[in-house]
Amino acid sequence: MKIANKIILAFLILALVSIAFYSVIFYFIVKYDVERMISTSLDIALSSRAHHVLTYLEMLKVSVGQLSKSVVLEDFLKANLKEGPERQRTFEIAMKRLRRTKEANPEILEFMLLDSTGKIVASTSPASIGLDRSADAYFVGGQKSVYLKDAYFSDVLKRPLIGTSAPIVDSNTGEFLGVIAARVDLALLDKITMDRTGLGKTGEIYLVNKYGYMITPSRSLKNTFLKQKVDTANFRNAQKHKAESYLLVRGHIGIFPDYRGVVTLGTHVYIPEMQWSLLGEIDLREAFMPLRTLRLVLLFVMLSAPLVIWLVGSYMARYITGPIHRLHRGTEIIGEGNLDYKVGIPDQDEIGQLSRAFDQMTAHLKNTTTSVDKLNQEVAQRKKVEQKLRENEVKYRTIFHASKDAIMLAVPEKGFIAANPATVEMFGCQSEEEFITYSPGSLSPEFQPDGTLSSLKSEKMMRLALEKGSYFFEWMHKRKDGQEFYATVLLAKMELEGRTILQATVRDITESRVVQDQISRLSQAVEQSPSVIAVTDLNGDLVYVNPKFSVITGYSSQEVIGKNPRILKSGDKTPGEYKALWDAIAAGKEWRGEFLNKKKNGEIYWEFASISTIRNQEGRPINYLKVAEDVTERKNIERLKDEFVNTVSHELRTPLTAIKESISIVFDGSAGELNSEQKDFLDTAKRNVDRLARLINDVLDFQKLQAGRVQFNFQAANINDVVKEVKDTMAPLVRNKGLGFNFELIENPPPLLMDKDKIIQVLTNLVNNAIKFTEKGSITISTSQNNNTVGVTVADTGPGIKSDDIPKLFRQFAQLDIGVARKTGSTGLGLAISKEIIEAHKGKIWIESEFGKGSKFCFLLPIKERRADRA
Amino acid sequence: MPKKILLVDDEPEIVKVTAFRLRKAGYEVTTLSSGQEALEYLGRPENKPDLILLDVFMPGLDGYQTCKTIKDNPDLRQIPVVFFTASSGQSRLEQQIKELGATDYVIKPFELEDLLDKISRYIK
Repeated sequence: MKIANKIILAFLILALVSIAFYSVIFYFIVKYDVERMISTSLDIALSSRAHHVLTYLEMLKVSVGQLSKSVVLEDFLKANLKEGPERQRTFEIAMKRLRRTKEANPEILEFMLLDSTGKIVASTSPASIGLDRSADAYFVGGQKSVYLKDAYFSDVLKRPLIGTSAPIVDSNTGEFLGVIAARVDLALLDKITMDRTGLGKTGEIYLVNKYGYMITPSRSLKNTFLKQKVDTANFRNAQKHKAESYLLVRGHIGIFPDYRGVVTLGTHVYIPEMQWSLLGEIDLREAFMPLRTLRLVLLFVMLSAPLVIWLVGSYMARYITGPIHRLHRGTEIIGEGNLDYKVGIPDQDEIGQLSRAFDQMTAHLKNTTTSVDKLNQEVAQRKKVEQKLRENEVKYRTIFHASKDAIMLAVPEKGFIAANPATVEMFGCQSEEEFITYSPGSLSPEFQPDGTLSSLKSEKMMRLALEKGSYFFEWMHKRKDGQEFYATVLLAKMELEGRTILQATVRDITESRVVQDQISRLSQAVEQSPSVIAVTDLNGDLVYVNPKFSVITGYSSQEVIGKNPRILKSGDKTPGEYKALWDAIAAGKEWRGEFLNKKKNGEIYWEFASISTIRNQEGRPINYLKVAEDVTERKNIERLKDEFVNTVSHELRTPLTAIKESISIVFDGSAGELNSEQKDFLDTAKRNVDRLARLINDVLDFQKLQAGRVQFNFQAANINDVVKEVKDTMAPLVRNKGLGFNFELIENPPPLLMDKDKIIQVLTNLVNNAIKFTEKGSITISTSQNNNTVGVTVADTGPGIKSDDIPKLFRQFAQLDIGVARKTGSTGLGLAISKEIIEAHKGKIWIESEFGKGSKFCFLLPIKERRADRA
Repeated sequence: MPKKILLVDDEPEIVKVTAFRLRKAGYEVTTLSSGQEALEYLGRPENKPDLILLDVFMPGLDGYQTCKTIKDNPDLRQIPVVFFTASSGQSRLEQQIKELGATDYVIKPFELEDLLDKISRYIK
């Protein structure tokens, strides 16, 4: 439970208990006082009324008593005994006296004078004279002394009355003469009891006769006279005093129900003479009204006290616990390490003192810990800065050293202070130490390409860099060895150890300038090229055409850019051919071939085109390139030439065939037996026909090879297989001539791309030549393998060739010895054809020979060379 | 039963010597001098040669056209056709053979052994 709540609760309990205690005490004190006050006041009021009543009764008795002593009445009674004038005269006087007394006492309604026999002899009411009242209580009671008759209701006067009487005796003899009686109105008595002084609203005082009937009016009821029976505890208490002989007997005060049944605070006075009870009562409600009000007030206090107490308690609790809270918070904050915190409660009480002591303690603690903390912090901070510096330095040094750009630091107007390895290398120096000995001026030619003095311009550049913070420009530099190079320079201003320095980053752009120059040269070449050059994107749409394109096709570049080159299509090619074209290009090959195209004006033209893929640095295709020439004219000439050659060969061959076959038929005896001489001549004819046929074939072959119109069928083949086939066909010839035929073949030769038939043709030709020129010895075919070539050598033991003659051998119709040619039937075209074939394979053919020691005919074929088809 | 060969060439000398040779080799040879004659001859159902030797350059229908007609005819399609030419257009010949469905070619002047070799290869 919080202190505040404890305080509130304790406060509440304490306050409620004390309030209740004092309230009860207070209540009873007040109650006692109120009761005493009320009973005293009631008592006083009742006593005073009782005395009034007594006085009243005394007055009645006195007035009747005085009359009874009256001589006038005595005289009359004496005179009345005898008739005579005396009686009349005394009667008159007595009557006068009675009337006078009655007038003096208005409450007395009637005086009666009775004689000794009880007969009314005189009266203020003349009508009653003569009546016998000897049995009446006046007469009976009043014969001896003054008598008071209890209150009664007079039927004659129709009102409550009280009667009183007194005896009249002879003053001389003491002889009883008669009785004087008075009827008295009770109104005076009523007046006395009805006086409300000291009785409040509900208090009443009334008289009750010995029989318990009210003889004075009730405050609340009417017509109570001798009718309202009062049988209450108060009355009964009063009756207990019957035996007492005092004038008045005062009773005790008590709480009783009155004649109406209403609870009252009441008391009484007993009047023994009349046996009357004077009862005084006041409604308890009214009597104790102040107590009730007090109870209500106390109840209200009791009920409202908790709220007030709670409010006060809360305030007290806050007032007391507030500083405690502050102190607690302070300890928490300080506990977290904030020694700068001050609790600072200004109060002069114990908590204030505690707070000040606490603050003092933390201050003290702080003083001792701060110094240590500060030291630690400073050390950590310094370490961090140093670490950062070291890291930065390492970073910078790494960048500085690893940079491909030349980076150098210079102090303006002083010179270089540092340079990275790239700088040293760029300027051709041995070391950084050497480099920084050079002045910036000595690293530039005298003039820059724009003609300004390097020294002037460099000053300007440095000034600009210092002004702007950094400056970027191009600069012609000079290496240590005098070689000039062009570079970009980024001059940046830096602050280092309080000095202003310039960092220059130099990048040699000679290469990119070379590339740029090359690009401009190439683009000019392309623009001016006599060939049609067109570039398409990967969709095949044109992105560039050179001017020649427009000249040839009639389309301007604006007309065709973005379009497909098929606008030129004439329809000479089958879909299959186009597919082959695209397959070749997609495979990364260059496609070469002819198109029959249509110009803008509809004219048809031939072009020989090379189509290839342009790739970016990553090797990804980005464009297709077509370089083409208008070959219409050449085509026309070739066509004419082809037609001519075809015609000639046809015209030559047809008769030759007939001749050859005819000779053969005759020669082999199919057309009859021949003698040996005939046969010999026919043999001559036959050999020459064969030679002529070979010559024609060779000429045509060679012509076609040279024109590039021989189709090569490149396929992967094994060179040893080629050798073997030649061996099979040539071995009989070699043997016929009595020569040895040797083979030195490599094992597992790599497959080569070749036209096998053509290579067989070459090798056959070489072996043929060897057979022709070798008279004895042997022919050796060997194969060899180099890095990327396979070599074949045909070596013979023939006469050899003079070195001067070797170059002539590959010419057409090169016959070193006409005699040999004639003898062997050689056409003189074999080596020329062989050379064409080997070169078409991107190979090489040559002869090694030492005159007199035989010859070696060698050729090499590339291993990996792939070749595009040729038309 | 000797195998039948149809020899079509406009050169009578060539026809003469070649036919002589083939007959010597044991074939039954029919000679005709033009494409039209060949097609007329082949149009008759009784004429079913085992092989046709066809000259390329002939007046009127040349060898290619004649071959195409033969190959378009379902009855004759199976007969092997060997071209027979003095032309040097070797590459064109090879292409035509492929396209027309011809079987082979022989270039004049031919070696007798070559010719007989090829013929025996295509006649079953």
